[in-house]
Amino acid sequence: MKKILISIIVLVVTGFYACDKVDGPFKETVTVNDFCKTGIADSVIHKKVLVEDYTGHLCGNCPAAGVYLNDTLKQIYGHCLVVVSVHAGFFARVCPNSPCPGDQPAGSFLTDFRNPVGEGWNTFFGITGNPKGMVDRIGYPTGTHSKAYNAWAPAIAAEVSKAANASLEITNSYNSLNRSLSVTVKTDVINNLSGDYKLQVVLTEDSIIGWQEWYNHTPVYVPDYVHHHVLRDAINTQWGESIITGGAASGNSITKNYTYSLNNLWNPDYCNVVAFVYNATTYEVIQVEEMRVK
Amino acid sequence: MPAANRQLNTFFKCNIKVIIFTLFLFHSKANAQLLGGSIHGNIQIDGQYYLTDTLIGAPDVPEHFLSNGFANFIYERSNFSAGLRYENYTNPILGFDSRYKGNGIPYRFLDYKNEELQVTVGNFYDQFGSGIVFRTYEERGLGLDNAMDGLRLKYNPVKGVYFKGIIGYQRDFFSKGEGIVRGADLEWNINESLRCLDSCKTKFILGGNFVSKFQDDQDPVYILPKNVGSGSGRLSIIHGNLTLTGEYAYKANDPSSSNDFIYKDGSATIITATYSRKGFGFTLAGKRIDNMSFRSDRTATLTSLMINYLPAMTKNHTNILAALYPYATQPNGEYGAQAELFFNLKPHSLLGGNFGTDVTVNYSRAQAIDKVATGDEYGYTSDFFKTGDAIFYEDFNMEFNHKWNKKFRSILSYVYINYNKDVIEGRQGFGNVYSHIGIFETTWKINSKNSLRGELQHLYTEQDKQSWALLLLEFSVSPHWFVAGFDEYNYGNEIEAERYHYYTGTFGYTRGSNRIQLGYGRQRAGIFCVGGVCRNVPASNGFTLSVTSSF
Repeated sequence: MKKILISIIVLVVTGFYACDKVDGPFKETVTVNDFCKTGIADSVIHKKVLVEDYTGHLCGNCPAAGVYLNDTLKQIYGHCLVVVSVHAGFFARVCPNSPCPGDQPAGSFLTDFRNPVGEGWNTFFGITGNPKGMVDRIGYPTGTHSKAYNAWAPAIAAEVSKAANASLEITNSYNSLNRSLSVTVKTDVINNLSGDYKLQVVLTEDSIIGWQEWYNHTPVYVPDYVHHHVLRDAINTQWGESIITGGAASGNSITKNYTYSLNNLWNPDYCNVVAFVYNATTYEVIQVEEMRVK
Repeated sequence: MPAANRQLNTFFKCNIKVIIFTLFLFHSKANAQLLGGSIHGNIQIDGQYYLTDTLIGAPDVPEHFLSNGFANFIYERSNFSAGLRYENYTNPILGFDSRYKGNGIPYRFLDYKNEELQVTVGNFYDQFGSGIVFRTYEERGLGLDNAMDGLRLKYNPVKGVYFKGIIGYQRDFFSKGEGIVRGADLEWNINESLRCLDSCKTKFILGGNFVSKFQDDQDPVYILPKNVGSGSGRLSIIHGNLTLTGEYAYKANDPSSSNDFIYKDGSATIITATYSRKGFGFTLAGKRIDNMSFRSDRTATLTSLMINYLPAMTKNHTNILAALYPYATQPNGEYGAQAELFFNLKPHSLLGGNFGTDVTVNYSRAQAIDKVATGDEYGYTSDFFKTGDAIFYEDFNMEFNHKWNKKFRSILSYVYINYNKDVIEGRQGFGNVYSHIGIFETTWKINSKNSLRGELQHLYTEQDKQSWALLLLEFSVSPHWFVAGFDEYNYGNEIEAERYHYYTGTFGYTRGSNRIQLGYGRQRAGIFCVGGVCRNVPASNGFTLSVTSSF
C-alpha cells in the first residue's frame, strides 16, 4: 500500500508543479525597439536581423505570416528588422499549373515572382511547406532554421539582443536614364571574427500590387494584395562573394562595388538594396543592412 | 540518346556499388554472440532513381538517386539491453520532409529491468492509455518520429499496479525539440490485485496520467504559459467477449501555431465498445476532440514534435483507390463515430456457398464541433453535446469475402467516401468530394507454389479529378518470388490532357528474413496541410529499390 501511495503522490506532484494558467493579460506591453538607423551606422552599432519569408501567391496561409511580419514585428523592431520575401517553390507557381485552384478569376496568378536565386535558396535550405521563414538563418543545418511564422518573434528577440560583430554601410547611386544602379557596400569588422564570411547583396521591391490567395479572408482571391519586400535578384550572384577568409581582426574594413541594371518592370522608387554578411560554413547572418535604391 | 536512357545509364554506373553492397548484405548472416549476450536487428534501404516526367509534373532531381535507410542493432544479455538505430537520408526520397537530410544515430538506448523495475535511458517509444495525452511512436512511411530522448522508469510496486514516469526531449528530425516533456501514468488492474483473473467474470482496469511540457517564453508579443499540463483518466471493463473502454483528457491553455495562439483549454473523449466471438463481432466507437493539439514546441507544425496521438475513427483502407481520400484527425475540433459489424454467412446457407462468406459493414463519420467565436484570446466556446454543420468525412463500406473453392477466393467491396477537401487538406475553395468506389479482388491458387491475384477498382466522382480505374495483377511463386503491376488511370478527368496513367511494376525476391524488391512506376502528386502549413508531395517517375533484412 505504501508503494502505491508513493506512486500516486508522484503523479499528483507532477500535476501540480507543471501547469501555468494565463488568465490575462495575454500580450506583452510592446516595447518598440526601432533604435537602428538605415544605411549609416549610428554611434552605437546594433545587430540588425534578417528575416527571409518563404512564400507564394498561391499559398492561402501565407498572408497571415506577411501581416504578422509587417503589422506586428516590423512595428516593434522597425529598421532593426530587414525582411526579404522569397517567392519560391510549389505555391509560387503561376496558373494554370498546380496548385492553381481552378476556380480562380480569369487572368489571375499569372505574374511570376520567382527567380533562380530564391528558388536556389528554397531548395538548398530545404524549406518544407509555406509559410516558413528563417531568422538570420540560425539553426541551419539542424532543421530548426526553417521556422513557422509564430516562431520568428522569439528568434528575432534573441538575435537583436546580440552584439554586432560587423557593421554595413550601403551607398547607392541610381541613373534613371539607363536604369543603372551603382552599389558600394562597406563592411567594418567590430569584433574579431574567425572563419570564412561572405557578403550577399540582393535587390528587393516593395509594394507590388498583385494577386494573392488568402484563406479565412473575403475574398479568398485578392486582386490587389500588396506584396512587400519581394526578392528580385542577387546583385553579386546567388551566394554572394567571399570577403573574409580564415578570420578578420576588429577594425578591418572591406569595400565592394557593384553595378546592376534594373529590369524595366521594376519600380526603382520601391526598390531596396539588402546586403548581409554570413558565415560561409554555418550560413548564420551576422549583420544585415538595407538601403533604398533612390 | 534519349534523356531517360542517359539517366538510366548514369544510374547503373553511379549506383553499382550500392547494389553490390546491398546484395552482400542480402546474403550475409549477421547473427552474433557478444560478451555472453546476443545481437539482433534489422536493416532497410529504400531508394529511388528519378526520371524527369514533365507530363505529370515530376521534377528534375539533381541527385538522380535518393534513398532512405536505417539499421537497428539491439544487444541483449539477461536483464540488460542496449540498442541503436543508424539512419541515412542521402538525400530523402521525394515526399519525405527535407529536414531529414543527412545521416546519424538519432536513436540509442540502454535498458535494465527486473521483476519490479525497468529503467530506460536514451531514446524510447511509449504511450499512456490510448495515447490522447502522450504517445511517442514512429510511422516511417509518413516520416513521423517523435521518440523521447530522456529517462523512463517503469515500476510495478504490487501485483496489478503499474507506474510509469518519463522525462526528456522529443526527436525533431536529426535534432531535438526545445520543450521538455515529463509525465507519469498509473494503471491499476483490479482483477490482478484481487487475484481473480479467471474466477471473476468482469474485469476492471483503471488508469490516470499527467503530462506536462516546459518551453521558455521569449515571445515579445504574447504572454505564454511556459508549463502546459494535460491529463486523462481511463477505465476498461471486460465482460466475457465484450470490452468497454473510455478515456477523458483535459489540456490547459496551450496557445500554439496549431490553434492560432488561442488560450482556450482543450479536451478529448474517446469511448469504444467491442464484441467478438467466432463468426460475429462489432465495434462501436465515438470521440470528441476540442483544441487538443499538444506539441513540445508551440511553434512546431506538420508532423513535428507531437506529444499526443489522436486516432482517426475511420477505416484504414488498403486498396489504392479506396485510400485516395484518406482522413486525418482534426485536432482543433471534431466529433467522430464509427460502427463496424462483422459476421460470417455459414457454409451451405443461402449466400454462404460451400465455404461460407465473411461480411464486414462499416460506417464512420467525422463532423465539426459546435464553435461560437468569443472575439477574445480564448477563441471560442463550445457546447459539448452540439455538433457543427460541416461534415469532415464520411465513409460507408461493405466487404464480402467469399471462398469459391480450394483454388479461388474473391473479395467484393463497395466504398462511399465524402471527403471535405478544404478541412482535411487545410485549403479553401474546393468543397467536398463525393466518391463511390467498387473493388473486385480474386486470388487464384494455381497450385501449391503458384498463385495469381487480380484487383479491379473503380472510383467515380464528379469532383476533384473525377473518375479513376485501376487494374492490378500479382503473380507469386511461393516462397521466394513475386511480380506485380498495376495501372491507375485517371480516365474521367475533365481536362482531357490530364488523363494520365500512373503505372507501376514491381518484382521481388524473398529468402528467409531477407527481401529485395525492384520496381518502376509513376506516382501521383499530392498536397497535405497541417496546422496552417502546407507541403507539396511532388509527382515522381522512376525506378525503386527496396532491401529489407533482419538478423
